[in-house]
Amino acid sequence: MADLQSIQAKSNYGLGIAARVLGESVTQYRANNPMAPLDGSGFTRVFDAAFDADPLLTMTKPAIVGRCLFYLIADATNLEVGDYIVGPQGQFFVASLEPLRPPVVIRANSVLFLSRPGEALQAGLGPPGGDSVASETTLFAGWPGSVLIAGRSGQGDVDLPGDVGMAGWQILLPYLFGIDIRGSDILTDQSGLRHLVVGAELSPMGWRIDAIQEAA
Amino acid sequence: MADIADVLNALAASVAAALYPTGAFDARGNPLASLAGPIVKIMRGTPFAKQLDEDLLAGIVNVTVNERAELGRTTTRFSLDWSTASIQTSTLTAASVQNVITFAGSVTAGQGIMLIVDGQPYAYQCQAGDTLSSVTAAFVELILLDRVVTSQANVLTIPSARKITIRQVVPGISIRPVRQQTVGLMVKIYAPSFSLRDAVGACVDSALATISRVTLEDGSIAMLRYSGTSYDDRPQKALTFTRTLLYQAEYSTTQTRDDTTIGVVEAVISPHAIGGGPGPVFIATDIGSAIEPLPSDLNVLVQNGEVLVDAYGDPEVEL
Repeated sequence: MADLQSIQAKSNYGLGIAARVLGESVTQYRANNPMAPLDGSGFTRVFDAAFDADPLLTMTKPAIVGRCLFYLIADATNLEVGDYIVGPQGQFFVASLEPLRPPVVIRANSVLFLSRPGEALQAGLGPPGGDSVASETTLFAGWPGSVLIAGRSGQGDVDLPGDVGMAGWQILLPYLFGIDIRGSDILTDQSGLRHLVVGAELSPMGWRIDAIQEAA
Repeated sequence: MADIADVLNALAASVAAALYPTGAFDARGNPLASLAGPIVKIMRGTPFAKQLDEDLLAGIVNVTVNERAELGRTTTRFSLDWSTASIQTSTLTAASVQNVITFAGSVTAGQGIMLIVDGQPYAYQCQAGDTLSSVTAAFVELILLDRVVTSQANVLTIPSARKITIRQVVPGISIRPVRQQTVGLMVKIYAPSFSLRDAVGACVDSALATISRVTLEDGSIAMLRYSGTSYDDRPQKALTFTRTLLYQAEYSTTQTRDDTTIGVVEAVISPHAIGGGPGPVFIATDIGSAIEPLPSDLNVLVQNGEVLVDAYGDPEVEL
């Protein structure tokens, strides 16, 4: 009598064969270093994979703007949630591995660095308070993630005549190394744009973060 | 250079001294409770919001020091002249016995020695890395241009010298006020409860009430005066109870500059100033910040904006 594991194994096998026909060669990275998750120091593997925007894996729906969710056609035997997959179609991280369902991956369009403002002061007279780059501690670096625009979120504090409002962003990242992302943390992308975390929700698929662009 | 930032720093230091008269940490570096009871953090500016949340939950009180621009006004009424703020103590010494000069002490970069040998000045300012021997060698190099001189280690011998005068030249800082003003200041207490707010507020208020003069970093004085207080309980749902203490401080905005005591002045022959002797006269053209009186063995005359100095110090010379 077939059980879930054997059916899943057959499913993986079949999707692996489909990937060899439909997909391209990709590299899987299991992060070993929060400061460089793609440095190859952890588990890596090269395999064939295709990415479909349709959970039915019909390969008929193209990717569209503002959508980062994809479904993986590949043998998922050695995949874990949080693994990065890098190939010709870009960088993805594995968000969900549910039995008998195609793996859900998130396409990353940015590389993010997490820093946390804070004060070393414990008591007595300290340096001027408030947030400053000098007081920030970097918690992780170089994590590919999805950064999609999510409306506007008010004016900057400086209120200059040319201000057009601060953009709001929805950011998706894997949950790795037990690192918590909190409100007021700063997520900086590779271009130096700073996103101030307003709220961060940890779901089984990783971090879903509401952020605003931090600017004058 | 005194600025509003120095006033705020001085006030923050006064608040810290009131709450932690013996320091905020024990020998192992652990934070101590303040005189008012809770652990208190004192800072200029505003606390970082997330950090304040964590502090208040942990029962830690924050005290901030800021200015209130609307209370400022200009009160300039004192002299704006340069005066002496500080002068280094000379660590390098030189002593002469007849025509032998011995250098001693320790060499500090920036300090200098001037030798006046039969009216001819030779000056050397110590550089980083100089030693007594290198200072001696530097003088040999200077004096050899005019006369015979020998040296051994830190001892200089000028065989033909009839009169040798030695002056020490040290760096110092001159200061002048460029504006006086009164500014408004506020000390704000962020506490997690009524009781901690009251305890810290009373401690700070009481201590600052005894302070009327605060010394700023450049040595100038700010006058401190209490001007009110207020409470705010509205953010209590965020576990935040605040009290604001208001003060006015009158201080001088100052400029400082690096100067040296006079040892070498610009040498210009000024025959008309010579009354009784043939010695050349030095005209110091830029000693507005003379931070040390001229040596008492010099005759000095201020004339038409110039300071005339008889180089020989001949008491018979009438300037």
